[in-house]
Amino acid sequence: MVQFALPKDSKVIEGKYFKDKTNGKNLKKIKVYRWDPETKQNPRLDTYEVNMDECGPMVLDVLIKIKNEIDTTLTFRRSCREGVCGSCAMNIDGVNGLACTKSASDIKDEIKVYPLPHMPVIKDLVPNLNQLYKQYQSIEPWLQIEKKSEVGDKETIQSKQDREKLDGLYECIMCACCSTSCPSYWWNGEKYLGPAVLLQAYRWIIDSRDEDRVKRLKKVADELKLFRCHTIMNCTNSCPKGLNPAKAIGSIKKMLVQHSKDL
Amino acid sequence: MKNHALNKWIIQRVSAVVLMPLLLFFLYSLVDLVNKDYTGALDFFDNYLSIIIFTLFLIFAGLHLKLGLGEIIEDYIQDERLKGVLNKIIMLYSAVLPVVGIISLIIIIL
Repeated sequence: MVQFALPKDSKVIEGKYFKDKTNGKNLKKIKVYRWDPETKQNPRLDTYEVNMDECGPMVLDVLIKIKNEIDTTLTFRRSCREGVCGSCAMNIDGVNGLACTKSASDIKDEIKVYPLPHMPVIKDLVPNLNQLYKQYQSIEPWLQIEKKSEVGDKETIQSKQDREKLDGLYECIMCACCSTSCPSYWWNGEKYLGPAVLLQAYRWIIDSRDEDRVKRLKKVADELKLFRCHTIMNCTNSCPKGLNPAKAIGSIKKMLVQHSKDL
Repeated sequence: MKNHALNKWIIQRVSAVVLMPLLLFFLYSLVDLVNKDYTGALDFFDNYLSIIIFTLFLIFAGLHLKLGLGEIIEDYIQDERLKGVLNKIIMLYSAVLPVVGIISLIIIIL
């Protein structure tokens, strides 16, 4: 049965309060989820006062300022700082997104930051995404061309029209914002591939150069892998790159109907 | 078509579309029947069009009910044994309802 209530040791309690020591006037409160597996204590919500006059505009700038100047124990992933790597994906103000592209001033009052929902937490804002990566690997996200000898060293040509079919798909950075906002993925994450992986699967299914279209379709045509999607659309709402995984999943279903005789 | 999951998905979509006009007819009939007495209700069912549409409604509603509730069980119940039992109960329930309804309609026209 699905567990609706959190176990006792997962309940988030009120944490420490870090007052601003710079006597700043433009203060912003930021509440951050903290959990350290080594302490074996309940997760807590620490509150930091940050002087926004001495801080960059994005939520990631605020977190970096906290780590550098207020509390060095705060743990989070970050890398490119421009919405390309997807490392800083987290739940900000109740919506999944990238901390580096989310402006702190867009959030009125205090900012609440949690790790991506419904994933095991490694520490603080760092979720364990191993399962998602295994699922990603299972769809074989690379070009399948068997006629290598014919192709030789030449490029595999693709028409402009066929290339356009990849728009809205190839831009996915696998940040997991969509999958971790999907209730179906919360309940059946071990079996259901989730919107991120299905969008990637469609990216290879629709690629005109790929020779394994039917094999790929067969692989995803499963009651649990694909048909747990109930078009809730949380994935589309939360995608920081403005992509539409729900549409991609719908397109896979449409293609399954078109290729139903081959399945 | 060999794929069971795909078949189920197509049947669910088709039954949903078919149910739209049937449901409108059902709601219209329901409102109409509220203002009628027993004899009026019998008169309402005393033509083949009403009987056919009602029969179709009961069959498609039962089918759609079975598939829809099955999806909920698949989503929220992890235990395979419990899932199996609940699916059987749903199948029974969604089969009994239309069968009883159709038998009642046959009794009315006879």
